[in-house]
Amino acid sequence: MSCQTNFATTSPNIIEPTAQNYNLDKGTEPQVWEQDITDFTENTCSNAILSHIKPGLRTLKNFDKEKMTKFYQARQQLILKEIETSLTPEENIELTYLNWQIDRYEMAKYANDFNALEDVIRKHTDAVDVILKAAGLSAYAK
Amino acid sequence: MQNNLQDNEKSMWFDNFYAVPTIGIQYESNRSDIFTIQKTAFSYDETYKVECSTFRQCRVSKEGLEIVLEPGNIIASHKTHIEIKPDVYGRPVVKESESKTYLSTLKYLISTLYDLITRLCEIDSKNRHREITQIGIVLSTRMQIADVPPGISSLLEAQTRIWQQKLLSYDFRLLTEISKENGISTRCHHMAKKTPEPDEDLDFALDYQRIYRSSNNPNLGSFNKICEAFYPEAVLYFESFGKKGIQK
Repeated sequence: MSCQTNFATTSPNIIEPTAQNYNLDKGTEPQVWEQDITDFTENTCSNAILSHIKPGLRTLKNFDKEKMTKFYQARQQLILKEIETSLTPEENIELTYLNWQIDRYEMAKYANDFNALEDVIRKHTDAVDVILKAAGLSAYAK
Repeated sequence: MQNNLQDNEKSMWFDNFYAVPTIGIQYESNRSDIFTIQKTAFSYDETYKVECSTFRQCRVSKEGLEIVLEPGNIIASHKTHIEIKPDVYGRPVVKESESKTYLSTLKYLISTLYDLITRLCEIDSKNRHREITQIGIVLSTRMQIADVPPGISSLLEAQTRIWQQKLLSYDFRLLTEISKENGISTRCHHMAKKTPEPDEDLDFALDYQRIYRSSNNPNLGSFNKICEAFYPEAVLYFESFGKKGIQK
């Protein structure tokens, strides 16, 4: 399959995306989506694989404690303002964004702890099921 | 604007994901320029992989970096560089060689492009005066639907309002004009793609472009000056879009 060079368009009225251009010989979709393709060549890896390696890994690497402290402080100030008076639409957007950033960080940081906790809960639930089954009872019986 | 960028350098929404940059430059050229391009591509040392297809294009690549040269087009992109090594049980283990933010990779791409344009101008000094007609910076990333930042979430929610229910899949590209004055137009493509599989991630890309249609277009010789002013604008737009999206 051959692709057109859309970037070097000869028509001045057609403006194509910057990246939709150079898969001329590969015959693939535009480059933006090309990164979805599993590609281990030359030790480079597609985003598709990377997003599944360890969610949150990037967050932990790129957001240090100092930065997060600033986020926590900014959020606290906005929450206090919300309680005392009210927030402007811009402040509301800022608060939503800060909540999102903090959520990403906490999920990345505590994901392993939560997984361990889930394992403990599952083991205990299984043990209760076994005991009840042995006693001829069901945990779900009314 | 750059001071503002430095403050946020390591705290942008896309730093939560594997976001990769691409830079494209479109300039006035003619087909015979392929010879200059080939000479430029082969001026790189043996640590770079150089592939040239006759009369069409040359590719220069090294450790995730890829530069595509065509008459009238230069596109540089960078994928995340990782190493795949077997562990003691022989299973493949993926190791990221170095942690790099989107911004640091983008800066690296700009310096690489500057070096390339310098080579291009050294081989043929006429190139210095070639008019740039378009320059674009792309951010492309992939994220889980649950992790989508509020700005992008607002854009996706706006699409769902039409049907009053969640969309199973989508593949759209929205182009907006951010400014237009004195023959210089600034636009941004917003691209999102998701397949119907419920666990499938969202592919998202932003492509911030400047199109020069004036009588006094910048030239390749002034690339560094243009880019130094252009890239903070693009990055701040990306950050702002992830934060606010289409919310007023």
